[in-house]
Amino acid sequence: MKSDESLMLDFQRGSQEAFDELYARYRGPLFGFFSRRLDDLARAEDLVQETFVAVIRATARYEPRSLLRTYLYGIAMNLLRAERRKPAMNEPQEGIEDRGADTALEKVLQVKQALAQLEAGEREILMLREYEQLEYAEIAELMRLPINTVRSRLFRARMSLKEVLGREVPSAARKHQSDRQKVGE
Amino acid sequence: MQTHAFEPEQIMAYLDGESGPQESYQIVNHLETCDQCRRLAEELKQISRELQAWEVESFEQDFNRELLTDSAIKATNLAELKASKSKARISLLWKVGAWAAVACLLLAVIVPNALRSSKSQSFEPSALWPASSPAAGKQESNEIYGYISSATPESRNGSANFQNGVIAPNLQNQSRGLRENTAEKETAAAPSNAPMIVKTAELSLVSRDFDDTRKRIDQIISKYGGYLGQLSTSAPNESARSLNGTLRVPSPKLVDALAELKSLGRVETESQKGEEVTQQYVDLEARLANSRNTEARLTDILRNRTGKLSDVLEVEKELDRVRGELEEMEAERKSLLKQVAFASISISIREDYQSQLKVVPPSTGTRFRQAAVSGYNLLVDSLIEVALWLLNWSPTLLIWAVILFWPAKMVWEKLRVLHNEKSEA
Repeated sequence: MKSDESLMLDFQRGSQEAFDELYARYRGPLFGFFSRRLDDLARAEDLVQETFVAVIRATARYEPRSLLRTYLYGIAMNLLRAERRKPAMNEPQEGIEDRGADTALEKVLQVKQALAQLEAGEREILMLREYEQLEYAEIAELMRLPINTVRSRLFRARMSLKEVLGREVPSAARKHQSDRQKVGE
Repeated sequence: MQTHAFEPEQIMAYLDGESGPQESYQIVNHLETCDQCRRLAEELKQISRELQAWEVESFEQDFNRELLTDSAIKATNLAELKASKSKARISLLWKVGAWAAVACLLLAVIVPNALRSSKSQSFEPSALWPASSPAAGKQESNEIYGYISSATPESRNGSANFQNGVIAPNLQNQSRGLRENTAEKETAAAPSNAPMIVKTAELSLVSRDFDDTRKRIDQIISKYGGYLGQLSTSAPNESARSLNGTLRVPSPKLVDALAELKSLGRVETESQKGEEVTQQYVDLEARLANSRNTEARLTDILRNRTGKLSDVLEVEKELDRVRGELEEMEAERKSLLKQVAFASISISIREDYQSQLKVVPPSTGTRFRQAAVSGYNLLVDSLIEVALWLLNWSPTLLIWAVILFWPAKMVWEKLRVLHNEKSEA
């Protein structure tokens, strides 16, 4: 199977099949990216298409410096920020809570509500890791953060989520940390 | 209260497949002994599992090409494309020129060095030992490059194996916990997304049962679907035997193979190294793509354009050069894939030698016989030495004798005449 970067270079040389293949590979993951972050599923579909329009427009300038996946999510992230700046999107987290009511699955609602309670930056890192399956280095590149900051925020996000989801307290992580502090003393 | 060798974040990074091979190995061992850390790992896996409950609908819609019919987009795109294509062409020429200059420079440096070193450098020791060091009692050398003992088709296929970034299968299983729901998707995307790591290990052992070692090594590499890169054994008289070699095993099986190799004796030194070559590979692919593009354009020019013979020859020359570069890069790419798919283990095994005490001296008769043989050998050797000396020097001496004979005779005659005159006086 050809790598994403090879396909993109093929597309740069004019191969329509390469573009179709890239689109087939990433339409699902990008739709997941937008639909989990926006209230409007139809808008999420549009944004997937817009991401690829942006890719086509920037084709000539593309150079395989980093993974294509990071490049695509970078474009998607910019589109999402622009979308959130629009007046309709300024209502904080309304989408996540409301959409929860539409679904019959209580678990999904619980997860959505728990995610909505996290700090915005931590939530974004957690979602990029868990749903988009990005590596720490890729998240760091997208969020323009040092990789160690990504790691510590991701850990905090997971622990906060665990608390919110109502796991038993004190957790093993907390005990682990308190042990280390005692050893330090 | 229990002490922890690892931060909770390190354990999380390990579960996410973000730890290095060495650290992963240590964390696996730590998790086996520490209940608290194991519980933390379970919690983290549980959080991931719960998050995966939020699935989104599949999105099968085709790309809406009408979006591209918008005149503004099209115009901008074409303009950009046109401008950047000319830029790309210029930069390609620069790149081709730079690569040619680098290649010439490398050739100028490497070729004389290679010629010089081929004269002075010793070759593969195993190839020279039997002739150059008769002191060694028995030596055996095997060059078995390319031999694959009993590799399964999967293990022979480099591209099937290099996608596994983490060393041991059990480590993969651990980290897989976080991604259970997306395992299938990952498998499909792995060749392009997994880090490409060239793994190497060095192992030095002391073995008591040296005779069995070679057989056991063969069994181990056969079991893990690997092959012998190079192996040489040395058994000098009255000292410890040794075995040195390079084994290649599929990268995911490196840890298991190392564990079995360590059972062959007492470990003196051990080291492992992992070098990520993802960037190198991506760069190489990009360079390959560019060169293929250049080749296609040159072929096109050769086929469709007419011109002066000198121009045609010039294009053909350029095409030859680009094809040469392409072949080199293709070979480099294959070699890189092979290095990633098969980890390299440099192994050195030394026998735990115990010297033997000789308690029986030779008999008197034997000693007389040995003295007689030695005397005879000495006599023959001295006669041969004298004969050789004469043969060596006689032509020179003869020439000088011929040259000096007449002057010496004249001097002698004069001296005799003078002596006679004196005595007569």
